[in-house]
Amino acid sequence: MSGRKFIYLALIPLSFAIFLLGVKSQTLPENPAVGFRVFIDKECIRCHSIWGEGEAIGPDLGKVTLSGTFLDLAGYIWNHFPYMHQRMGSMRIEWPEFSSEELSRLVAYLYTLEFFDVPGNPEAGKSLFKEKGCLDCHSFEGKGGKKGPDLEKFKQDLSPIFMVQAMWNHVPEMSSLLETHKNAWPTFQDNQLMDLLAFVHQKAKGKEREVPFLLLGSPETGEKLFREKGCIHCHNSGSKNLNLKRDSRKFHRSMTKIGALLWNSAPLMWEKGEVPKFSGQEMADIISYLYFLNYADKVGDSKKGERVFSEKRCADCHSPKGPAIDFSQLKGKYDAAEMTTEMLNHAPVMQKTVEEKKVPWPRFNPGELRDLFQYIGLREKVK
Amino acid sequence: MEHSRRDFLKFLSSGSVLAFSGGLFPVKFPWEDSFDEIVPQGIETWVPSVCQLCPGGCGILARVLDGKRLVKIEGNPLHPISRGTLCPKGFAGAQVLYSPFRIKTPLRRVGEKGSKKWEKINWDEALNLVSDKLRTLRTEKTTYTTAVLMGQCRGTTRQLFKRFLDAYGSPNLIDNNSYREETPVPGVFLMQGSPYPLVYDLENANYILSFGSNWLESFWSPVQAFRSFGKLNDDKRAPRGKTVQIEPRLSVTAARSNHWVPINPGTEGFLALGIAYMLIKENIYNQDFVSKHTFGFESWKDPSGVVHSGFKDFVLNNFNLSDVSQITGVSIDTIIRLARDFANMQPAIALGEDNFNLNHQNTFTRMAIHSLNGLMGSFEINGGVLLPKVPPLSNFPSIPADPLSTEGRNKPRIDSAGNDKYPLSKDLPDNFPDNILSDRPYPLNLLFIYNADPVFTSPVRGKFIQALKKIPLVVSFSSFMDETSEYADLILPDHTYLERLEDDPTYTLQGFQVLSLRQPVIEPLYQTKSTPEVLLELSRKIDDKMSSAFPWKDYQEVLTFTVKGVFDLGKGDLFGVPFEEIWTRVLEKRGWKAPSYKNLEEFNKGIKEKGGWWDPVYKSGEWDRVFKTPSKKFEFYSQILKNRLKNQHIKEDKYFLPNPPLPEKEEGYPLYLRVFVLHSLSTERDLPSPWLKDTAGFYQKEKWHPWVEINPEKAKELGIVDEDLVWVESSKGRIKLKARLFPGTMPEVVGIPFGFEEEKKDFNPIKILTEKLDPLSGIPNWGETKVKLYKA
Repeated sequence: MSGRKFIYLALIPLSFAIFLLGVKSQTLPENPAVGFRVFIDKECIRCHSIWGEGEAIGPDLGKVTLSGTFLDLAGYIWNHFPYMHQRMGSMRIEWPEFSSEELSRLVAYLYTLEFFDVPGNPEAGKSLFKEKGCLDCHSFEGKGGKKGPDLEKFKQDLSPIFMVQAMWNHVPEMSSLLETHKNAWPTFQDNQLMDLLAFVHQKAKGKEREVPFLLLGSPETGEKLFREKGCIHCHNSGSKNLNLKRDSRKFHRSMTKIGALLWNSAPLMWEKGEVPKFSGQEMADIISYLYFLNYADKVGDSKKGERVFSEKRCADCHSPKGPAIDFSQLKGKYDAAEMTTEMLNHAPVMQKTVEEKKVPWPRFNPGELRDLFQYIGLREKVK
Repeated sequence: MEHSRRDFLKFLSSGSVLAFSGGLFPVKFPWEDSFDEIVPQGIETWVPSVCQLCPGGCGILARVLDGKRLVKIEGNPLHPISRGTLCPKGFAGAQVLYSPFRIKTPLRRVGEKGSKKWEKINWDEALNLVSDKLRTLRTEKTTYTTAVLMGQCRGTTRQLFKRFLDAYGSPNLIDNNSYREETPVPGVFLMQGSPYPLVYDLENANYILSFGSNWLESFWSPVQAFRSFGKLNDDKRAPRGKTVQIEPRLSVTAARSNHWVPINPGTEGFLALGIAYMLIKENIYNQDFVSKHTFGFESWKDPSGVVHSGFKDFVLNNFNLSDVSQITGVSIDTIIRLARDFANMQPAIALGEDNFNLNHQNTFTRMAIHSLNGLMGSFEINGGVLLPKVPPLSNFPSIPADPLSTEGRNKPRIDSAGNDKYPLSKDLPDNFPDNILSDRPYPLNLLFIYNADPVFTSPVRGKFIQALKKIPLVVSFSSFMDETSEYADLILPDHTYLERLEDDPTYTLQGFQVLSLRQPVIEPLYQTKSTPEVLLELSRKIDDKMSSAFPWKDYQEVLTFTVKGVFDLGKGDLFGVPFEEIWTRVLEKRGWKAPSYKNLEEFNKGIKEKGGWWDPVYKSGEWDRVFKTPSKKFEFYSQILKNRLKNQHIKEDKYFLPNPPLPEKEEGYPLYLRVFVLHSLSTERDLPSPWLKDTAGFYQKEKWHPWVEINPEKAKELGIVDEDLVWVESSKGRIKLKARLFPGTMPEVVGIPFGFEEEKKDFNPIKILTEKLDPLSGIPNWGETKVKLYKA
């Protein structure tokens, strides 16, 4: 190995480590789905439905966009506390108490909701099937090419992740076929992959898969795979094309939309060399990791935090002379999740206080909690 | 025994308070020496299991003290069928377990058959008697002369019985369950072709048009029916669901429905086609569904140029409203209203399923009713008609090759099911005694009876008794001395369902698959044995070939093997709180899973702790699965029937369309007998529970004995007053009952409840029911016996 190559390889993990250190005050969840248990146990489900399933007193959480980092989402819950608390009171539901682990799980779960695709439109899928040139290789109802399998042979229960996996792993074959036919590489936007899948479902008659569904991907495992499979070689904080730090927000979209991003850039990736193939679960983990890139909070700005502390009138109570705990004494005591948990558990008491003092309920814009915590001097989360 | 069973049960019910407060009591319960102990003491545990007092499959929690004494049964809140509730039967399970009438040890007949003389024997002796017989039949190469008559039974136990007969060499597994859990109603089968039963999503329907289906009293899953009724009438629901009950008697279902439509008995099919007439005439049927998913609606020309009459022309030409009104006794206005409501309040269900026949051509009547679902496209939608899948238990490995068993399996069935006489029959239990008595197609040497009591439930009970007397060896697995077991030669008593381990696969009314685990809540009280274990032991005793077909150590091992099939499915989750189903559904609909277990070990442990597994997703729109007819569509014109009747060379189209018959009349018997089933007694067998006997006829303030309901005007005409003893007589025989005047009975109808056990009294209405079977399916005809009434 040449010296330059060695240095180059050594720099890759180093740059990734720097990238992680720069953003992480929250660890990636091992399994974002477990937060649903918290959602049930804390009785959130008594008011909030998900895609029309459950009670519809509060907003349907499957239909609102819950983007932002861990602290942004926690701030979102905090901001809505007065309204929620009032409605819960009328329903005789007590405000729940969280442990920091429970809150982390709950927020990770809420963050996950955007990950799920909305069902596609088979009619639109049928048009896409023709427009994108799929018909050149695949056939249905006796029409179309014979290079690829007829749609009838597709599994009846083909799920989105398996479709994305199959497409990704077949990129080389499809690429050479497209070259032979002198067709351009078809790209997909928005919900088009789901439309296509809905159409495939209409036509597929193949035997059901032995394992029809996969476990929701693990961002934590995905992060490891990202390194092990060598993705990190190209996609690191210094890369020009897809820079994980710079483009993290791009991945806060549904699974097939992330799949479409991968697919659209596949020829470019293949041009640069061998690209790894993935099993279904690996693909799920990788995509889940990409989805969670924007979940971890970056390091806050202490000066901005001081301004937040003042503007939100935290100092009225949380100062050395105030009636409540002095924030300056919290330095190094809590991490962000623990601090947020304390805040939410403390919310009912605080609401009484602000009502007595006739001050408005403090609401936090995205990024403000992060800055505030930086100002307070919370400790880094220890994994 | 000094007291009759009836006397004891009555005493137990009425005197229970006295007894528990220290009064005299003739029978000791097994857990105590005296009645000093009024409040049970001990460390309590709650054991999840499954009720088996009807086919509903409700999850229960048994409260057990010190691991050995059951004191209460409640609904399992995690179980998707019962969701923490139970019907009265479920609560009465403790009285079944502790019944003083249980058979406590194997018994061998010592007197004549039916003489009720028995001697106790031990299990070794009992099993040797049976295995000797089985071995002899194998030596004589007459294995096929063995049969199993089976009542309510599903899952691994059913599979095990089937495997036992397959390996042994007999085709004779005869289903005697009137609920026909394993097969659809024949009329539905002809139109949909699926060999599995349907479910009706009652709670999500907006309109339920029930043709005599007593769904709030004797439904196959009463707790689900009750809960659906509650949801239909929920304050929060807009609009509330509407229910209409069409039948000649004001049943509990009719009384609780929004409308009761009294109808001349046996003419329900005509009314259905009158409604169809209106839907077609006013063009308010679902034209999109009919054009895409049905066959035989319009008339058509076949490839040979012959023009066939379709359903539309058939109905418009034959079922105009004035004729239908005259036949059914339902006014034209009512028919119009029913049709318009049915069309406008979608999703709507035409419910024509019940466990008993409506008339002598029941199959066509059921087809007529089901055609309304076809017209409105009430399939594969929430609040519609669904075809559930059953949980996929692992299939047993192939049976080791054995020419003797292959030859035996390929013999014709002893009940002649599927023959030309009853071309739609899959089982013919009520034809079985005739065949036995005439040695057709061969004499039967050995009969096993499991969970069935045909002498109590079959209109051909007399022939059954004769047949049982003729068969050389009859083995009953009953836990109680029921009327059929009285004619057995040997009784190998099973545990009750509260002492037994087995799986119980079923489904919800939303079509979700459910696999429950029935597990012993206490150790067996007596020297009884689980029947599947008996089958395994017998297989080992017969010979090596039989033994090799059953390589499992015990039934637990068999169960672990079969239930793994559900784990391997990779869908669904263990039972959980109601909201957990939402998450499972949300994930599965999007191609993901997040089960609460990580591996097979956790899965098996979780099933025991929570009570079972389920998959709360119904995949709708699988039309090829739902319509398994030759056209792969819903068939108004049944090509299945045409194929099955091809040997009869019938050319007229009307025989393949829903063509209900006019009710038959019988000289000298002017009244129609309606035998109905009460909720607390709606089971295949008599339940030894004083609680249930005491609440059976609450609306008539009757208990313990059946009665006959008569319209007051008709009673006056016959000179009968309330509570008179009267004879109810058909051409087959007569029974004596107390008359109760009931304005909810139409004047030409009398009603008698079924299900009271018999103790030297002639009041089982089965005795006077006609022995005619439905000519296509061979199902007994409970709905059209004619009787006369006079004072006793």
